[in-house]
Amino acid sequence: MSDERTTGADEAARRGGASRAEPLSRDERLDRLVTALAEARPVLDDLTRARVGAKLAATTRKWAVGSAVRVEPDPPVVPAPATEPVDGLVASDAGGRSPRAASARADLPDVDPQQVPANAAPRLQVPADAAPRLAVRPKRRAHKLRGRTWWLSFAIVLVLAGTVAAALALWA
Amino acid sequence: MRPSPPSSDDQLVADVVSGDGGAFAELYARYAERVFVRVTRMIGPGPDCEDVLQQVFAALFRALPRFRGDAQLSTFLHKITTNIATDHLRARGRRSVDHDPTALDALIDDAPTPDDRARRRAELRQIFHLLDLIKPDKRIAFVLVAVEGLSLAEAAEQIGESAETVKQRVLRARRDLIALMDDAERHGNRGAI
Repeated sequence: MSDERTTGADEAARRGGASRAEPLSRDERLDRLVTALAEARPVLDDLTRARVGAKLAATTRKWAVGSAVRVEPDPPVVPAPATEPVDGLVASDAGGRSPRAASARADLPDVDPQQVPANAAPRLQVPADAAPRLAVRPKRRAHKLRGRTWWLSFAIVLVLAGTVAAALALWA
Repeated sequence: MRPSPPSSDDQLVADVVSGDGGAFAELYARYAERVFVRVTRMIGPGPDCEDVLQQVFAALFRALPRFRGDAQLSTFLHKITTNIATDHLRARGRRSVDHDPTALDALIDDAPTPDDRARRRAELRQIFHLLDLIKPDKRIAFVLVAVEGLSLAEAAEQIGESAETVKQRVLRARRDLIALMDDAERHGNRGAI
């Protein structure tokens, strides 16, 4: 391969039909096969093109929805300081990354609170085919925290009771 | 009303990244044929080509946010094509695939006579059979350089190896192919492969 650009097809074309009369060498035979492959013209028919296009459209739509409706990271366990609700939002969320904060940052239309009925449901725009990916882990984390707190309290009570019992025993 | 000029690749990429599904359909319409041709030459004709074509564009969709635009989109896309075709060949293993004569016929569009068509069909069957028996890495390098006509540097960029490595693979592929041809000839079944 003295020339990087020289292909098997080129070599076969250069050797041309002169070699047809005499037996082909091994290299020439291979070059003829390579030429056949280089001259092959695969055609993507309309049916296949449309079928693959439809599958791709469905797949990419699903991925696009998946990336738009992300599961938020777990919120910090430390409770935020209680603040007054502001227009249905908690002020401490406004700087965070929660969905509420995201919607707080979004350009929301000015709506007179008086015009909103008391039982109005939040109107989140989620595509119909979006898979429900609601985060339940924060609740489970809170449950674990409650469990740990209970055991800690129990241990403290036991230590106190033991101390009192020992003190009484010494006193007696 | 004049039709709007076609968008550039960079504009389409920006539109896809910003969530425009129509832009991705436009990219697919623009490049599907080219990718299909290359995939068919790399792995041989058949239903697998359709699967690989779909995988390539799905991978492109996921990779577009990382596309920095310092290379042409076609180069980026062909790189993805090369990777996925290599993975496909590795998964398939080195075994000869019985290529459908209809699929082989579809690759020949300019054979003037039936004899010529039959000869070219036999040649295509033989070269695909031989390529099926060599290692995927060598096969891909050989197809890119000897069939597609890429320079060693271009092929190296697409494969992700050095030009010297690609050169060695092409030479070894050629040596293996000739050895396989000789072997088939010694066993007297040259026409069968």
